Amino acid sequence: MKGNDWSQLLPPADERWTPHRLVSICIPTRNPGPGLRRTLLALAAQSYPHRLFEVVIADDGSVPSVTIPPSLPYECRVVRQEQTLAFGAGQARNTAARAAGGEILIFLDGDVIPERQVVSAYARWFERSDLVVPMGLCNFVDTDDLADDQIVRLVADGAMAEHFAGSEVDDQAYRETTFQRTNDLRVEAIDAFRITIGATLAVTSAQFAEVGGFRELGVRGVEDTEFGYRLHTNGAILVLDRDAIHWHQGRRNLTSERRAEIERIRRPYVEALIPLPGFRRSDAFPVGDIDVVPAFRVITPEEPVLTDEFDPSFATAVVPVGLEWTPQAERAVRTIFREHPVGVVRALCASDPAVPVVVVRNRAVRRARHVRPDEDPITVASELFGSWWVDAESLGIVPVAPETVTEDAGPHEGSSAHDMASASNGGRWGHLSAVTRRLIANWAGATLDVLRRWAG
Amino acid sequence: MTSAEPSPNDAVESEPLGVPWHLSERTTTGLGVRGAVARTVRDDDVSRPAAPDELPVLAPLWWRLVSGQSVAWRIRRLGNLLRRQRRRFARAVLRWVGRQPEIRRTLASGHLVSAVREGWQRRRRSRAAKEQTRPVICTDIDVHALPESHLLRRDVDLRPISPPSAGDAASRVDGRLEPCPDGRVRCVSAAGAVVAELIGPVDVRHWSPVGFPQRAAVETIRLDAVLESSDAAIRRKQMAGARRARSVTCHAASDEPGLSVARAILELAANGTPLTAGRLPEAVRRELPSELIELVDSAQRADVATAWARELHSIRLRREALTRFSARGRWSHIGSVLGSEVRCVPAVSVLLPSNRPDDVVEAARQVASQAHVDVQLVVGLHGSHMPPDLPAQLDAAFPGDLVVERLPDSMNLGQVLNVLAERADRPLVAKWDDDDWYAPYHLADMVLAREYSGAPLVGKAAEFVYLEALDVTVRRFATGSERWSTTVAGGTLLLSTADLRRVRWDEVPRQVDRRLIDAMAHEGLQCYRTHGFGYVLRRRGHELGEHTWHVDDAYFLRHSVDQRPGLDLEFADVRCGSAS
Repeated sequence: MKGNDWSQLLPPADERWTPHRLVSICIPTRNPGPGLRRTLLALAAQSYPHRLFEVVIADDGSVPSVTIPPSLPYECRVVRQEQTLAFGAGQARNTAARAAGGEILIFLDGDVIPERQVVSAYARWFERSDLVVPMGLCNFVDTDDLADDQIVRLVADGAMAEHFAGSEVDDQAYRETTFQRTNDLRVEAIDAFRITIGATLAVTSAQFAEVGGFRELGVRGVEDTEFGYRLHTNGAILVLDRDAIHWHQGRRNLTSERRAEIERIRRPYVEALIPLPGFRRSDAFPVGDIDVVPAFRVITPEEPVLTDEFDPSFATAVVPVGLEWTPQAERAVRTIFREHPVGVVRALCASDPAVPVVVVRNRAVRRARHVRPDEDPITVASELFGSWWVDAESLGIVPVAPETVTEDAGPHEGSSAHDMASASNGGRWGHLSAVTRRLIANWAGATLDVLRRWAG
Repeated sequence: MTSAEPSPNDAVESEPLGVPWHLSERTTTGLGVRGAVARTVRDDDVSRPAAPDELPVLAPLWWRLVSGQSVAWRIRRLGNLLRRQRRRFARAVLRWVGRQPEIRRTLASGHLVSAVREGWQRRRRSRAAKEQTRPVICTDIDVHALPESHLLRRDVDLRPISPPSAGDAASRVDGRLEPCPDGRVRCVSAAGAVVAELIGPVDVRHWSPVGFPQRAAVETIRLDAVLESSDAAIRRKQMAGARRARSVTCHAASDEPGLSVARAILELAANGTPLTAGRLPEAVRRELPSELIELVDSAQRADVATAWARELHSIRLRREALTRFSARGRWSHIGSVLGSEVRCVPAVSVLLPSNRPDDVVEAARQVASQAHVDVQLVVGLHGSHMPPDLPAQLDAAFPGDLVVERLPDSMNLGQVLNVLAERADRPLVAKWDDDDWYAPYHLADMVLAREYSGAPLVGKAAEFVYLEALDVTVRRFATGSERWSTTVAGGTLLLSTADLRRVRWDEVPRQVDRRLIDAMAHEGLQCYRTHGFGYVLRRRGHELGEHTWHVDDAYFLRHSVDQRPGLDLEFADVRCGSAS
């Protein structure tokens, strides 16, 4: 599959499948209100076979402990952990995932009710590929005036949308802008993972373990995005499944002060952990015991591009001996990847065109490793994600030893000052002194330069 | 999942259970309706006030004044304004300098003052010429023996359309056009019978791709929102601005008059607006040709998701609309309805100079595949190693009107082209390069561009370049098409034979195209640059010896906005061109 175009995974319209994998629904919670009880009751309406899914609730030090309603038609367990972090969602999700026995992990929040088709909707994607990370939509509605059995009935009848039609629904507008831009994630983008939210997400337990699960930061608003970043870097196929609709019990109630507060606290973590433009704005610094994730891993052509362990950095630069990888080149390559989300950038050096500098996105090589492990990862990466040629000089990659660089800049059209200076050696300007010719040429050239600068 | 299915719990382990994979059309069709569920809510609830905590909190006025917040903001705004004006001024000057390559040369030759004066004079001349040439539409086709005003008028006597050629009575058309009360045109035969009723031509002076924005400025909008206003002037303005959107989804209410919506769709398509599928009532569909409807219906969000796809879709739409509903298309249709043989196909002579016997046959094949034009191919062979059976091969490759000139090696390229120009007998000439790739619609598009822009000289930029050394196809410009510009590729020039014979090629071995463009500009004949699709320039690699990389190729890499591996003809929409 190329890029993130998940529509290539879609089977023919009459395709049928048989659910056979065990699914674990992981719910982190701390001091849940009545919402969790409703969610658990509503899960009984799932169309996915009840013997094939279990619910694991990670209780992050609730007082009193979480209890589950009796006689649920599916298996449901509570795993307790002691509260150690101010915000323990990531930790609790990891606890739940460790206790889960399913091949597929679905992450859900305690106050979010999935529609009855959601588990099936997620699970069907894993029939197509193990690398998929299907995600759904979340609507925020006011459910206070609904009784438990009313909600369960609405979910069982698939009538949530009809019931809430006409009332006020918040969807997550920032996710929708990304969906618009990427055509529902089908167009590859290096920041596509920004729509990851912990409340609607499914992943195989193998991939969960491979990327190392959630980071236990204890900070709101960064753990799930960062998890999304690592999944993305691991070559995962992010799928937006518009059938997987969730209903959050309660409208969004973040005030702007609260939002700014969250933003202030999470900012250093985002800067340190996500080395991408838009997330890391300037130089990042370690936060507590959390190290800065480097944007690029720089290696020589002899070293292997792929590491056995998952490497969370953004890309790997293979720089031949004799060339220097500069911060300027780093910025330039990052810009190229942002504008053209290819897998491989090859930079050609005039000094030795046979050995280009190869910068490969770790997402692309990780995908290559999963898809075709026996072949050369860079070749596969450029097949799957495309490649981009640049010339090294324009990137700012320079030879270590200073050499004489040829000034031949190719078919430039705009260098009129040079034209004039050289043309003015003879012709009608001959009667002028060399100094005057030089002056006029300089004046014309300077004027054009100023105009060019103004023109932007 | 429907409730009619059997409960899955009973059948898990005993027998395989066939659950339909597709749950709904939301995921699979991907029409991109914004949050399918939430959207229905939004539509009903447009008057919802913004939640109070979403409003920006402003400091009190006195504090803003004391702290200087507002003052700083005003100064910044003024600075931005000044910078914007300065940028506009500088760009205008640089554009002007760029359009006058001789200025630099004259500057270098010493007459600084006279150069500036000449430049301004030429500008005035060319402006006047542009204004003269612009309204003239397709002067080179039979129907254009008519004055231009007749082409757009609805009550035209059809008799003089086709002059009796060699006394052939069948080619005469007897009939009249009358306006219908609903805005259609009615063809009435000489006997008085109504032959057909059709939509009149789209006025390409107002609805043409000129100035098409290649980057979407706003996201997708709806057609009924564009056509909302009942005020004609406002509606026209809305329609003209609609092409700035990523796409316009064709939704129309069933109570709107079908003809007026259909006409608006045609005009939008001719304007280059990317139209995508929506709900159109049958009354509208009836008025439009099925090909156009199909193009619109098949366009989903993916077809406008990237700037490249969006432009390609727009080009297909405008081609369809302009071919059928420009004045020429309409007259051609009227002629076919009335059963005459009105010749409305543009006639073009293709000049193909070549010294590469391997490539010239392939090039002739590509000329032969050109659609919707009547082509004469004039080949000039001026190399030293020409196999004797080459004319026979060319004959086989190009079944139409073929002229092969064997020219001495001593002639330079300009001389060869002048000889070929003398042999051209069609009203238009196009230059062809033997080693590039052209789409089958290349010439038809160039003729269309000439018609709607009114330019005496049209070309397309070498936007798509195949770098043989790196085996990669690059796209060079993401903007700059559909405007007056001299940055065009030599292999795509199209102009009238009369103009070419007057201006003539410079008899030099290299850069003949550039010199022709400059010479035309000197005469006040400006060059229009249409879209760059349908043409791939080949940048040879094997001439560079064993080095597979040439420093000049870095120029193309530096300016590339998109790249595809290998020779990607789909990328440039050159589908039928074959790789050699």
